[in-house]
Amino acid sequence: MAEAYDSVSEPIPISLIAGRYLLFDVNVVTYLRRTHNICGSLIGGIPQAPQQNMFLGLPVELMPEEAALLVKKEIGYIVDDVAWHTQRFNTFEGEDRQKYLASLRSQGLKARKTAQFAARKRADHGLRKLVAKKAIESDSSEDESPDTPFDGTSSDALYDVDRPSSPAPSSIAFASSEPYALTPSTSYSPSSLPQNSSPAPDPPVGPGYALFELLQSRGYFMMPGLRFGCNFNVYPGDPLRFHAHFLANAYEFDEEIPLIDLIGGGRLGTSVKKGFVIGGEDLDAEAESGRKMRTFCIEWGGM
Amino acid sequence: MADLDDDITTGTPQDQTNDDNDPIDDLPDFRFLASLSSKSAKIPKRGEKDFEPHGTKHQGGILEASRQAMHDALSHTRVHPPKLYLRGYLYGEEGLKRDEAIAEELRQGLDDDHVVVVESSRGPHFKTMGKMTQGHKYGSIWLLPEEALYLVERGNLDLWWPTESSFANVLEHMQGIRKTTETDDQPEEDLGVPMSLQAAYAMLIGKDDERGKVSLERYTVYANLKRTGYAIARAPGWGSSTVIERHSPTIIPRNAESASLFTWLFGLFAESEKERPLYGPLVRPGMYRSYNSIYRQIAIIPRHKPCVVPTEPAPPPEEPFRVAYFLWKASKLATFAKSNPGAPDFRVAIADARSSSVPTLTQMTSLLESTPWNPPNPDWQGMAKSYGRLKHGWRNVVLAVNDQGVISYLQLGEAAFGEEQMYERFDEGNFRGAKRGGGGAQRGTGGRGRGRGGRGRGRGRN
Repeated sequence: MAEAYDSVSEPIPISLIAGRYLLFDVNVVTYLRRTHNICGSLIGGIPQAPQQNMFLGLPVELMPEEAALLVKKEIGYIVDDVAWHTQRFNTFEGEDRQKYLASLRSQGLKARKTAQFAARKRADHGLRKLVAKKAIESDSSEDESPDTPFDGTSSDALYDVDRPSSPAPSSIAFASSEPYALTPSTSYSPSSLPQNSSPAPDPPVGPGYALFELLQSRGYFMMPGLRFGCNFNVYPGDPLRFHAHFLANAYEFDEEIPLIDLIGGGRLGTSVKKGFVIGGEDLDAEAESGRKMRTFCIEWGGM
Repeated sequence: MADLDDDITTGTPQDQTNDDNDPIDDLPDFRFLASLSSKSAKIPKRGEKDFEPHGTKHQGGILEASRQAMHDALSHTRVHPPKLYLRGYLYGEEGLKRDEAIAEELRQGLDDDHVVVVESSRGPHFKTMGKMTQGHKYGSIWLLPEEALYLVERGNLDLWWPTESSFANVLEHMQGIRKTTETDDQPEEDLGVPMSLQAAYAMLIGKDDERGKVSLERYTVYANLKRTGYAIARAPGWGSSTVIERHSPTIIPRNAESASLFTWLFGLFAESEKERPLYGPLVRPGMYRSYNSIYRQIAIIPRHKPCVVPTEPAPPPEEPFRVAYFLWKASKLATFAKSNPGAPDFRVAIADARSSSVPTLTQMTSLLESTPWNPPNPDWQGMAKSYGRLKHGWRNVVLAVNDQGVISYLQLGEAAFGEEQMYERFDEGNFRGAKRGGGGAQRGTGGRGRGRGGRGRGRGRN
């Protein structure tokens, strides 16, 4: 099964807007999740269900650590999206522009057809229900004829969307041939991704990066740690499916760690059935030994 | 789409309890999104999660289904059916600048940040959003960046990058003199190009002090609260350059009169007790018939006393600890008016978790003092309501902390523990009575009665 997210090719563009790293392409989002255990946080609303905060949608905001890792591994590159869009819209002429408008138009036509088809189906469904109800009311007669014509029209409707004299509800009364307007999610089209030449600086990361990189390389998924007062929540698999195992905090290798932080983190972690991980990078250690990064897990024993 | 669009007022209240019920499961299972329809108006329960991957096909299948459902949900393209079509044009700093493209008399009454003009003000959203220009017969409605971006994200607004002829078109729409039937042979007017969601983010998200922009941490909080159903407006202290007026004590608490009388009465007694000797015991030797007079003598540490006008005002609030938005509850939407919204139900300050730390006492005091005097409900009398009074505080403000899109809301209140004299109940006999009578408000009252009675009898016998 070839899905669209299989065709994502690296490196992928990461939008930098006002110091934040954002992704707008659903294929890229799914691809990073499946291939590189990078999930980011969904921060947008979804138009299908706009009055709730449980299911969120695009864009995805990446933590600076995630963006930095993608850049370092050459999986992604940073695009100054404000500059890119400013340039695009102010020089949007000729063929480029025609192509963009034509693509919107064809998508809009498709959307109109889908919508009108759905509306017609709803109308048919409603009518059939009405007929069925009437049939029950006039149950005494065994006349089943009303059902037949409507079955006929509904199967016609499958193929003949623009049939003029159909029982259409008022919402599709306009039934014009104009394409629907639509708002695409992303500005990049696969054929014309922005150039990877912008000298956007690497994402600024603190001491948390080394810990993030280690955990990511071991296959863990990381999410922002605000809910548990730590740097990262660490998941053993996709957070869609699994609970976090650890609350992780990064420290400098020689940093004095207040005992109260260890106890607080340990107690909090244990009470939510997670381990409290602290980690730091020994900058003096030999990189080859593979022991540059040291991590410890703390559990509260005396609950 | 049509029925989703109309649910702005009806589909909201359940979210307030559901906002963050289980912080452990911070990602919902998108397989349940399908069951979320506007008809049922019920948020599905989050899916059960597993402890760890164990490599079974069953588990792999569920994960695959969840991922596919999420992918499908996010693949949705925002389509604008003609009936609900709303177009807007962006006049930001990067393109046609508003103040250069539009004549001054046509944009009177707007703030600097009103950068998106819309062709119509139909629909429920404009009850709480948008600003009408003033002083000219050709009026137009303008949106702030967060309002425009929210509507784009919600699928209600088609945002366009304008051309020179766009604004004239908007005015025609507003006047209702737009040609309703366009003949095909007429060359179509070039009104610009539609912008993607990404383009809208790129052009509307920025630093808060940039003209026509909103920061991402403020926008995500705005959108989160809008989705919950609140009516939201920018607070006067939005921009860092604006100096917030200190709230003058126009609202005098209802019980001010009686309170002052009491303090005056108590003051008569307290005055003499305040004069302490320089040495000797804290409690002067003597005969005491009440705990109150003893406790009052040993209260030597000055405690915070909230007052309408602070005697030593804190410096003006600084970023990010200043009120950014005013909030009105969804229940007030029916009678809400943009021009006269009334006192807000909540005031929200917004901080970014990564670039700010816990506010200092001064920052917190400044933030609280920038909000009006809001004492606890005068009906909350007595010991039973003590925690209610403390929790509500004499001033309060909501602080939203945003970590990469994950928002936590905290309430900061000017609590006054010194106003809750716990010892007063000792003299009422409440203490012993309550102990005997056990918990519960009703039984507590009964216990008090018995306690008093008991003491009365005791005295009698002596």
